[in-house]
Amino acid sequence: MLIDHSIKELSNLLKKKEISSVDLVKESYSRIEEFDLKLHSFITIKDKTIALKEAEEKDKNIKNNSSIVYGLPFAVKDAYVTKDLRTTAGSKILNDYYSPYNATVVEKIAKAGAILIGKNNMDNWGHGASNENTNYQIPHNPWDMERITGGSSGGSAVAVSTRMVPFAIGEDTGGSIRNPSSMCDISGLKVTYGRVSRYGAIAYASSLDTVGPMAKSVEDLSYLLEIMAGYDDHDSTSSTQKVENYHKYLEKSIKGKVIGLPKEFFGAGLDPEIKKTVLTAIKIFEKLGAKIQEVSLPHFVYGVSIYYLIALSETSSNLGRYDSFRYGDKRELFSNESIRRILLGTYALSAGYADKLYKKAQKLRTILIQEYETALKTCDVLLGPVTPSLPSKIGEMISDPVKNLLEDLYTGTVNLIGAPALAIPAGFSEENLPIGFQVVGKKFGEGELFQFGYLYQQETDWHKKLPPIIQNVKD
Amino acid sequence: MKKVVTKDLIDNLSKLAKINLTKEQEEKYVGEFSAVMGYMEEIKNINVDDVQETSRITKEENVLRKDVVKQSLDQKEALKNSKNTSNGYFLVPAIFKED
Repeated sequence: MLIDHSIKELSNLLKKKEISSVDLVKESYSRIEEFDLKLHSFITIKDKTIALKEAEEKDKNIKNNSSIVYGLPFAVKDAYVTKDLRTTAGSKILNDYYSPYNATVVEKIAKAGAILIGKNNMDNWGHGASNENTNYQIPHNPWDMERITGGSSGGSAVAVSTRMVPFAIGEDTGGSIRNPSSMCDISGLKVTYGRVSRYGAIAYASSLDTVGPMAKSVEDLSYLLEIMAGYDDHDSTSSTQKVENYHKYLEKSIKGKVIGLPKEFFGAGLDPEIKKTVLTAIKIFEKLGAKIQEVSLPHFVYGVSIYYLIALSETSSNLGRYDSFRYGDKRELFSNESIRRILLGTYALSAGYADKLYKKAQKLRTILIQEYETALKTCDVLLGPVTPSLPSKIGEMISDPVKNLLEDLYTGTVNLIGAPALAIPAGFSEENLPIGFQVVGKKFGEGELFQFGYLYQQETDWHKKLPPIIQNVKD
Repeated sequence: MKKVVTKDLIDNLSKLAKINLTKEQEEKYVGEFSAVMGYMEEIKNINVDDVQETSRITKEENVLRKDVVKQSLDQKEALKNSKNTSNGYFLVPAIFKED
C-alpha cells in the first residue's frame, strides 16, 4: 500500500523513479473502487483515464526540484469550486453545477503538480457535524461502519483514513476539519483566519470559514500548508503575512513551553473516555518537557450560542445567492437542517432582534477574543478535546438539533477567535473508536502547532493505525 | 427575548428567506426552533453594554486594488449554469405586473 507512506517519502520515491505517479493514481482508484460503494466518501470522481493521463504527464516531467506533492493524487471537499469536475457543496441545489473557475487552493495545489481525483462528501453547505446532512449518500466511518464520520468534511477524513488519497483539503467553519479528523483517526489543521485564501470556497459563514489540509500526519500537514498559504488578490481577507517554511519547526524541542488547559474544555458534557484519553496525551507533552497550566476562559461556556448566532446570521445571508436564476436549482431543495439554519439566521438578523441576538453575539465574540489573548499571555498553546462525544450511530444525531449544535462546543469558539488549531489522533475508546485532541495556537502560529504535534507523533503511533476495513488490503 | 415560536413567525421568516414551506415543515420547525432558541437564550442575561462588537477578525484594513480591467468570465461562461437565458441575459420572473 503505497499511499500509507508519508508525503515526503512518496515524493522521494517518485523522484528516484522507484514508483510512478501512475502507480499512485492507480492505487487511489483501486481503493475507491473497492471501498467507496460502502463508505461514500466521494460525491464526484474524476474519469480514471483522464487522471491516468495526467499522471503520465507528471511522470515524464518530474525533476529533482519538483514540489513535494508533484505527481500525488489528492481530493478536495466538495465545497471548493472546480472547473472540470462538478461542485455540489453536498446539496441537490448544485447537483449539476460546473464552476467557470477553480478555487485558489485547488489551483495552487494543482500548480504544484498534484492530481485532483475527486470531490469529497460533506454536510451540505457545511451545515452539520456528522456528515448525515448530505443530499448524497451518507458516508460511513471506516472504524465502525454503523457510525458517523463526523463533519462537515467527513468524506475527506474517510478518504485519507482509508488511504484512498495521501491528503485532502477540508474546510473548517466551526470544527468541520477537526471533528471528522478526530473521528476518523487522521490529522487536520484549521488555519488562522486569513492564512489561506477562501476564493472559490463555497461560503457558509464568511467571518469564520477557513481552508485547511487533512492528512495522515502532522509532518504532511506542515508541507501542505507551505503550498496552500499566502495572500490572494481574489480574497481581501487573505493575509499578507509571510508564509513560513513550516516543516522547519518539526524537529524543534518544546522544552519549557507552557500548555494551557482551559478548565471549561474539561467540564460537564465531555465523554469520560475522551477526557481520559486527552489527559493521557498531556502526560506525553510533560514527558517532552512542556509545562502544564490550568487556565480559565469563563465565557467559553457560551461559545456554542455565540458561534451559532453569528454563523447562522452569516449563512442566511450567504445562501441568499442561491436564487435558481444564475445557477443552481430552487431554494425549496435546501435540506431541513439548512432551512432551519437559514430561518434561525434570518430571525437573528430581523428587525427588533438584531440587537438582542446578532449584535449581542458579536459583542460576546469580542469578550472571547480578549479571554483567549489573556490566556496566551501566560501559555504558548491551549490544549483540549475536539468533540464532546464519540462518533454516534448514524441516524442518532440528525434527529436532535441541539445535540448536533453541541458537537461544536470545543471547536466553534476557535473559529470565533480566528486562531489556528491542530487536531491529532490520541487513541481509541473501548469500542475502538478514534479519539483526538486539539492544540490551539497564537494567530499565525501554525509552525508552533506543528512543533507540538510532530513531537507527539514521534512518541505515539495512534496516527499510524489503519481502520479495520483496509487492514487486509494487499496492493 | 423569551418568545413563543408560532407558525406565523416561521411563516414570516420563510417569506423573508424566500423558501416555500409545506405544512409539515412549518410544524416541524416550530418545535425545533423552540429547542434551539431555548438553548441560545442563555446569553440574554450577560451584560455586554460597554463592549465593542467584533464583525471581522483580520488585521487587514482598506484592502484596495488598482482599478484596472482584468481578464474575466466571457458571457458564455457566465451564463452556462443558468437554466433560463435569452439573448445573453438571465431570465427572471417579472417583478412588476402589467396592467
